[in-house]
Amino acid sequence: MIFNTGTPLVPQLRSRLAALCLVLTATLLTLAPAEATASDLSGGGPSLFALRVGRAETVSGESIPFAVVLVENGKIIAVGQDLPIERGIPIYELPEAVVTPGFINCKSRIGLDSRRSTGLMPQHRAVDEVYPAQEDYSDLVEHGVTTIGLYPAGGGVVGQAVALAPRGSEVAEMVLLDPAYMMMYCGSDRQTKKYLGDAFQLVDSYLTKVEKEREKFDKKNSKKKSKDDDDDKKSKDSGDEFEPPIPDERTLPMLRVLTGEMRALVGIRKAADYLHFLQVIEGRDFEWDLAIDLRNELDLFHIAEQLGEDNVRMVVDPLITTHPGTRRERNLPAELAEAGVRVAFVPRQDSVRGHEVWRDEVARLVRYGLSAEDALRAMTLEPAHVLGLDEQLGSLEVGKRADMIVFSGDPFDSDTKISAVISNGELVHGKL
Amino acid sequence: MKRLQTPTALAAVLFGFTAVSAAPRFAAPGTLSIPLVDDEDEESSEEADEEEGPRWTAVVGGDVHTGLGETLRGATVLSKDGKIVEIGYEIFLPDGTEKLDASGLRVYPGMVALSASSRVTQGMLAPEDPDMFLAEASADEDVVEDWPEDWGPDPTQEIVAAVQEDKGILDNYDPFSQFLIMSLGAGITTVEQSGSAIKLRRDSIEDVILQENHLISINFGAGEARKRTRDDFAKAAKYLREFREWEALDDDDVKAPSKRGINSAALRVLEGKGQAKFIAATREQLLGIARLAQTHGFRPVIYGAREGWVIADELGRAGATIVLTPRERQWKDDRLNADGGSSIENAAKLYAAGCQIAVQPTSGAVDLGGIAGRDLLHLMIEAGFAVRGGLSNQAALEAVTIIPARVLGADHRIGTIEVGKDADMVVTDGDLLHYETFVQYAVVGGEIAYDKNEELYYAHIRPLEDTDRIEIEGALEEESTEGSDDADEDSESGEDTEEEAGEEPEGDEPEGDDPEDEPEGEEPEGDTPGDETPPAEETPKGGGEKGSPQGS
Repeated sequence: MIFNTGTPLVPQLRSRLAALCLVLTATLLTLAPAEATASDLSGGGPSLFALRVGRAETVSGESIPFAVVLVENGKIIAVGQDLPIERGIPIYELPEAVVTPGFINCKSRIGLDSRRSTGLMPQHRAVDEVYPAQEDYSDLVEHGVTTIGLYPAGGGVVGQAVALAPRGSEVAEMVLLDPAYMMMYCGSDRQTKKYLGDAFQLVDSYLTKVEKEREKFDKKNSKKKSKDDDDDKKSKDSGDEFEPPIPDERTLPMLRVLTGEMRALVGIRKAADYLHFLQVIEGRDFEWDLAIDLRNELDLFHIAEQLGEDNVRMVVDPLITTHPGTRRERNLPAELAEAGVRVAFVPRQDSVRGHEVWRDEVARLVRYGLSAEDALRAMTLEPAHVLGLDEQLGSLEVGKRADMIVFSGDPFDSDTKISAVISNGELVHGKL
Repeated sequence: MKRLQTPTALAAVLFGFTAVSAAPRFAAPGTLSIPLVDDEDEESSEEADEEEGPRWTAVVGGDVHTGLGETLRGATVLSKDGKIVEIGYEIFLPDGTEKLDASGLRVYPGMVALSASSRVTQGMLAPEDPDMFLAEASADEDVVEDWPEDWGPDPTQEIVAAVQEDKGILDNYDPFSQFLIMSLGAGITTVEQSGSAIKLRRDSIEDVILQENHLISINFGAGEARKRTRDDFAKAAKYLREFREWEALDDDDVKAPSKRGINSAALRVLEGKGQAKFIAATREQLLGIARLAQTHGFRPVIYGAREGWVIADELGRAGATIVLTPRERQWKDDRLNADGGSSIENAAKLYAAGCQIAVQPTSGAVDLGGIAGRDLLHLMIEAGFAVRGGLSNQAALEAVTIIPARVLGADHRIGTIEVGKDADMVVTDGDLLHYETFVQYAVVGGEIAYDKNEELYYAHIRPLEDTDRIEIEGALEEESTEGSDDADEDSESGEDTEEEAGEEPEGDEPEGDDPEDEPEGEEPEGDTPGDETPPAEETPKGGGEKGSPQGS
């Protein structure tokens, strides 16, 4: 797509630009000339600005050379090659720079304490543990991480994760989505399988209860006169509408999971766990992703094809592992991606330092066969999916939140530095 | 010929019967189940093979050591959905049959390993993931159960748990366990886990238990326990006698004898609901067991039996099955003025006295540390030492196949290569019990569960020259030479050609009737009949590629 030759833009884009131009003519006519670079984005910086960069990695689409990204009120309103920019809009000229979506770590415990518990506790919420305004969070931003998913620690069905932007002084300010996903584990052992089975059982028994109540209600209604012979708290009034009983605090989140309102992230440890997981869910249809910590001798390659066929998304850490019983090295993330698994990366160490070297770790896998597109996607759009925020985050697309990293060169080159990080349209680190 | 619409089915029946006549011993007519695909036409049967139709697999052209004493040179073993349906020569292989070319190799029944470590099927529990598995026991009120215990790597705990609830085996089964793969590579296709017979499946976590709790452990250790056991058996026998009398009486007014105080284990043994399992080593223990068994008329299974050779005739009279370790070494107790201690002839002498012999290794673990060559992976070599002590080769083979299968109560499904049994086989490049021999393939339930060339453990040691031995029946000859990897694609892309191949023999259908009538007895070792039978979809032996249909 070459915009500077006057070819029509994507209609959506064009309409947005048109609208924008109207706004501009009305409000910005008196402002400084176009080339004037705005002084400071971080404080009360301009709510509307443009980045003109050497390359934009959109992740969702192709990578765009000589790209312009137009941001207004924290949202991306236009992305394209050599877009015409209305006069008066502050432009940041960065001809060498590469801009990517902000990194997303979808499974982290950073800034949370080591408290953990095990069992069937879908009602637990990680957001209750969050202590805002920690240095840890502001440090994450320096390394390009603009979104994190914090999960409750423990085993079994551990509770609900929350998606945060790691900046702000209040929890409400930070939260992007709560709950983001239900964290649960499934292994090749009776106990974890039981926790999981029990969690589904909660929903099953609730649904049968609802069914019974409904029958009762229908009977009552048909008689038009009834006695309150059941002991429960509700449905005693002969109201017109049937109201299902209120699920208890443990059932409700599981109900959300099984009805597709909330995603699930299922931690496994080895290939066989996946088969056991499939056995436990018995073909129930809900949205789940897998998470596994890579380690030497991991046998995941046995099921790579099956995972690909099942169109699984998998959260892994970027690590070269050894083949069981040998010292032969395997690039499991690359193998998984090759097989069609949608890979999402998390840093190997869940610390600020871990986030600092995250990009280098991924770069190593890229050197050993993972495609750079898959790698970048695994740090942005795929984790956004895991968090259930793929509509808002994870790529440079019109309408998405303006979370961006400006690199001094290719993100996976070892000498590339992060020159700026933009979160929600604000400069939160570096200089433009 | 209306009832058989397809030449496929016709030929299958035809050759099914010829195979029976050729090797009547292996093809019990009652268990011979030949596919009568009456309702299917060629096109759909091809699809069905790939989807919900029966799954055909064949080990072609190997020297089949059935485990019953016979060897069928260059024979083919055909299995359907994991069960052996035919053994012999000139077997018709249905389209889509996955063939393993075993020409030049030997085919044995898969070995059965007694007392195997539970880690074989559960894998090496590894990574200490602090988040998930090693939660410090915090004083959190929400802690429901002690997590680390559940995940803990302590195998004894797991065994205890598994014994407590048999389903534990299924809940822990790991088809990708390294130990499992290595065990298959050692020729083992079934292991004993907590008294149950577990099939080492690689393709699924379902249906791995062959037989549960067949063995009934009886304590016959120290003096007090021995006395109690004798009493238990006496009481149980008395109860059983009374119960039988009461039963014969068939009188509602008479009360049934009380079960109170009767040891349930002893009762189960006497009722024949399982086999009594003893662990005993010394002469006097063994004598005691033999006499107990003879008194009450049951056949004991004795693990250990170090000094069995001293009183072999006594154990033989008791009909004992002895599970021993030929390389066990221990001096006799010097205080005893009789023969004793271990002997390399133990197995041979007990066998000569009429005992059934099963061999188990010193350690049921898969362990490459410690004393090499005495772990589960060297079961074959352990049996080889019994041969060194005088046991016949055949008896030694049985000692790691059918006899342990019988000990576990799974001999109706595994332990020999017979029609009707599970297609659990190992394909080796030499005598199974020879130290030089490698297992090239392990077949479990008809599926190739281990391929030496694919797994990295032994692939580099004495590799076979031609490693490309797996292909699909019905794939075009030119295509099939391209390599087994493409076999699937071939069968899809080559649909047209396959149909043709399926149609061609159709013209021969009437001809096919003739051999059906004349097969009696004249099927010696697969020479002549292969040439005169029209729908020769298969080569006599070692082919791997099908012969060209003569109808064309």
